[in-house]
Parts: sequence; structure tokens; C-alpha cells
Amino acid sequence: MGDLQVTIERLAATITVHASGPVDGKTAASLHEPLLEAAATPDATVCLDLARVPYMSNAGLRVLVLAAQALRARDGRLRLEHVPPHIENLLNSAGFTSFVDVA
Amino acid sequence: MSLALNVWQRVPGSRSLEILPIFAKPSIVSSNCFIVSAPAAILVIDPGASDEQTRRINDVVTGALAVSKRPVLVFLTHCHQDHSQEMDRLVLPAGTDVRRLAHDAAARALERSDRALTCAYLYPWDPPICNAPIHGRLFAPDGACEASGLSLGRGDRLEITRRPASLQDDGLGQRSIALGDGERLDLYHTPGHTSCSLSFRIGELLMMGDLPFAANPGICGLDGWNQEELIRTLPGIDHLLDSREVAICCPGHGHAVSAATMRDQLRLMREEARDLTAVEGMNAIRITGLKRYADEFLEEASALFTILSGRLYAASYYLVDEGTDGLPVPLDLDGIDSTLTEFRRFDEAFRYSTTPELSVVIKGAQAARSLLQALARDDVQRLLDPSLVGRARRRLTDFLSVVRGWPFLSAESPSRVNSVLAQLVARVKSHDDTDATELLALANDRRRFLDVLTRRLAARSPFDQVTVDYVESYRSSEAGIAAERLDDIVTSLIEGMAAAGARHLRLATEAANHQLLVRLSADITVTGEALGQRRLALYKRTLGWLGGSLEREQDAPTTFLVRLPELSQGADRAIR
Repeated sequence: MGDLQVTIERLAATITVHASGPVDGKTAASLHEPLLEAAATPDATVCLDLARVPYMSNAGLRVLVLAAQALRARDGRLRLEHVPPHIENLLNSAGFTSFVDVA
Repeated sequence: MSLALNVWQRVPGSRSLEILPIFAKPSIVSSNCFIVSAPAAILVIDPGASDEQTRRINDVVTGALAVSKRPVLVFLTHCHQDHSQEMDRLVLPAGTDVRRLAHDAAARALERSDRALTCAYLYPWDPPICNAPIHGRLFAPDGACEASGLSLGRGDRLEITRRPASLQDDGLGQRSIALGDGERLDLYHTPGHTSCSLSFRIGELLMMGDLPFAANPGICGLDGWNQEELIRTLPGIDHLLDSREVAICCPGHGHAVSAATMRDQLRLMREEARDLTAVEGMNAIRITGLKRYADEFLEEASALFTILSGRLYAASYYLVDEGTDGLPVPLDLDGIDSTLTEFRRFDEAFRYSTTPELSVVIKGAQAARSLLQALARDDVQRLLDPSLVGRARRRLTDFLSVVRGWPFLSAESPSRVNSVLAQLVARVKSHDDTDATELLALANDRRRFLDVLTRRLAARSPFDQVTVDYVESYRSSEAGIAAERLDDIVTSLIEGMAAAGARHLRLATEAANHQLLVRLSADITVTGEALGQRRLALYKRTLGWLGGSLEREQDAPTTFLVRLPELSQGADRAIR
């Protein structure tokens, strides 16, 4: 419960955004800026690590779409890592896996 | 015209009365309190149940007494713990003449520390019930033990004038107390929420206690609640509000509203109250069951609304190519997110606090009502997957019905199982519809084109590659479950298994010991975590209420077995 912590890890051309905490209407804004900033970085591969995200609401899904759109503008795709099963289930049900990659 | 919080102000429609309202944060823990300064007395209406509020009352009343020493009359709108607990805990200057007044039934409930009628059982910290003597017992049924006046210090006497309900235009029993300088307090017996409920009028203000919430899910059915009395009370209040003698209404929780707003609210409530026949009463066991149901409902509602919203966002990913600024969105997605986030956080906070379980149930009911409103827009059905929208609507309605105590499941009409499942499988297979005729015909009408494109994208099944075989091995197939409910449960299981990676599913019916079985098998192992443990618990609970069951028959690969209720099954439908 509570806040969302977001940390950025850069390794060569890969930027990994690690999220820790629920991504919902109260916290999604904390993910929005770093993720969109990573997506706007030229030539970077962008990964979002959801290992420590217990819950994602539609506000979180909106941020994923915005990042995926920004990446598509430069022929990239958003990569999600360590996605908890129930969140992967939602992503599949909502049709997100046609434009984001789930590792 | 409105009331300012926490400051003295002139009572509208009076010459010499002042009021200081203390609005508590809306909850079932403590009520609002209203302090009135009159020439002949200071009135404290509903002290509430919070130490902090009591300290504030003490300060305010002590300040008013310093200006002019008068008796202090403490009133209750009703005996519930959140209104009455602090009634005898006011600490006022020595020599202050304090008199407590309440409906006779409230006085009796408090005197015998009745945990049911005072609703003290709702609070896990086992709060003390205020059983201090009530000096003024109002509206006693036989009238004999009712106070006609109160002796005050220095030989003064406070006269209480009775006006029987039969002589009143509004049909409400009335008592009046002179407050000096020609001012008056009118008290009305307004039962329904409780049998001891009173409303108070001074000037153009009406303080109504919890009457405005009496038909709300989670509130109706509490001990002392009475549908017939409520239905009799509401026209009387309506008459009062129509008489133009009331401008502002002050409920026991939340902010004051205009008389016009309250009148509209109560007229809607009157319609709702008419349907509240035979509701199941509230008690501690039922509330614990409702709390568990609220947790499960939260998971199901979160999943359904996240999928609905997610499909719209997924559509927006592709619509950018069409040069749109955004979605032609038929849902207030931010509003929905905010409702669910608030409920989720309230529910999570419950684990770390002593919040009463009923608070979570009431919060869930508020969320359900708000989400139903979001789905009520005309274009929702037009632009979104009707199967998902229908499921969401039915789960919200189910939750509200169960919390209200409606035995809705007993009215379940039987379904022809084979026909329901055959249609369900046909619907799943139809998702690969690729007919673009409609889109081509609208190519010159941008707005309608985008509407149709959005609908097609948002309703597009992400499970195109999944196959579902249906084996009908038992032909006579009526069961005691509504077709839509059976469809909802099986569709949710199929979608959940497909989303977890299953590519081939098998659905079969068979009979065993007079019970119809539906077996759903996947080609992989699907964990409970992926499907959502609480969502599975919700389907189990619903089938259990009807006399059926849901079990995981096999883990690897996963098979679920649904035992459908028999036609004549008369299950124990009480919430447990």
C-alpha cells in the first residue's frame, strides 16, 4: 500500500525503469515522467520492471500506452519485465500485448 | 444560502439564534454536531463519538456560557453510538445546568446499553454506551412518562408543548420548546432509520440526523430500521420542505444542502424505499460476510473496469494513426480510476486500523453506485464490448442488492444450460469478424468513422488464437441459475485462462446425482494468482448461494468443475 517508488537504471543502450508500489490514479503520475523521458531518449531500448508492482489500474495502463506511442514514433517497442501473473492477465485481456512486449 | 463550518453565525430565519456547526469527516465513527446559542439555553444536538469533537464542543459551549450563563440542553437525533457516545462526557464550567433529551425509545435503548439498537456492536474497540439518565423523554407511546417540561436550576422551568401527529398537516408528531425572545425549537418524530429518530427545526434550518441515508445500502436493515415507518415519514418531511419554512437541511454526516436539493434527494429515496420490502436485517455475522464479499467485489470490479478502460487505451494506440487528438471516450476513465483507487486504498487501510467492517461495505456500495452511473451513458453500449459492460453492470447491481439485503438470488429464473453454453462458444468464435463493410461505408463521415473504428478496436478480442470446443454430452439441461449469471461466470473463467496463455479450451456438460456439471479444461496450468484468488472466491460464493459450487478439479493442466444448482434447490442464501 502507499506510494510508488521509481528508479532508473542505464546499461549501455538500455534504460530500465524500476517501479515499486501500486500504479493507480494516485501514483501513475510518478511513473509518467520518467518513463516518457526514457521513451524520448534517441536509440534507447526501454524496459519497465514491474516485479514490485502489486497492482495496476487503468491510470497505469494509460501511461504504458503513452510510452508505447512515443517509442513507436522511432520504431521502438516498450518491453515489460517481471510482470506479475495477474497484471499480465489484465494486459492480455485488454489487448496490450499486441503493442508492448512482455518478457 | 449555506452554513459555514466551525464558526458562529446567525440561524437563517431567526432574530436572535446563532449556530456553530461542527462537521465531522463523513464516516460511521462520529456524527456532525450542531451547537445553538439561544437567549434561554444553549443546545447541543448530537455530541457524536470523538474525543477531539468533544473537546471542541466543550470549548465552544464554555465560551458561550462566559457571555451569558444559561442551561445546556443536549439532544440526540437518535440513539446510534456515533451520535450518542459523548452525551455525558461534556466538561463544562461548575454549576452549569445540563439536561439531556431524546426520544423515549432512544432513552430506553441507552439505559439498558442495547448494543444492537445503538449499533455499538459495529465498532471493534467495544466502545462504552452512554447510559447516563435522560431528563427529557420525548414522544413516549403512552404519553404518561413523557416530559411536559423540565425543571431547571433557580426554579426555572422549560415547557415542552405537544402537538399530536393527527393535528399536523405534515402528519409528524411534534414537540416545541420556547427558546426565549419569541424563538422556538420544533422537534419532529421522523422514524424509519430508527424508531427513535428525531428532526429538529430552528428558524429555517432542519437538522435531520441520518434520515437522508435511511435507504442506502449498508444502512437499511440496521436494528431499529423500519421500511413502513420510513415510507410514512418521508411525505411529512416533504411537506415541511415544501412549506418554504425550511431553507437549509443539515444531515448527521456530511455537509448541509438546500431544502430543494434535500427534497429531490428524499423523493428519490422514497422510490427506493418502496422496493425495500423483506430486506435481510444487519447483524455482526452478516456484516463480516459482506466485508469479505466487498473485498471480492473490489477485485472483480477492478479487473472488469481495467479491462474495459484498457481496451479503450489499446484502441487509442492505433487511433493515433487516424490523426485524432484522443479517444472519443464514452467513459470518464479518470473518474472510474479515482473511484476504484479510493475504494482499494480504504480497503487496504482497513487492515491496519480499527475501522468498522461496515465502513468498507458502505464505501463499496458508494463505489458501486458511482460506477453504475459511469456505465449509464448512452454511448457506453455503443462503443464498448457489450459482454464486458453487461458483466460489469450485473456485478455492481448484485453487490448493491446483496448489501441492501435483497434476496435477489431466490428470484433466479432457470436457464437452459446447453443453449447458454452454445451461444457463449459461438460468441467467442465470432471475435475474428473481419467484415469492414461498415467502415468503408462511413469513410466520408469522419466522426462516425472514428466511432465505429473505436468500437471495433475496443471490442476486439485479444484471444483470436484461442479455440473453445464444446461437448454437449447431457441433453436435458435446465439448472437453477440465470442464463446471464452462468454466462458471466464461464466467460470470465474462459477469458482468464486464455489471458494466462491457454490456447485450447474444452467445455463439456454432464450429469451426476441429479446435478448438472460443467467442466472447463485448459491445455496449460493456470494459477489461481493469474485468475485472481478473490475473483474465484466471488464465483464460488455466488454459486454457493444458489446451491452449486466451483472447484479446481485438476491442477496440471487446469480443469474447473462447476456444479450447477438443481432447479428445486433452496439454498441457504444468507450472507455468511
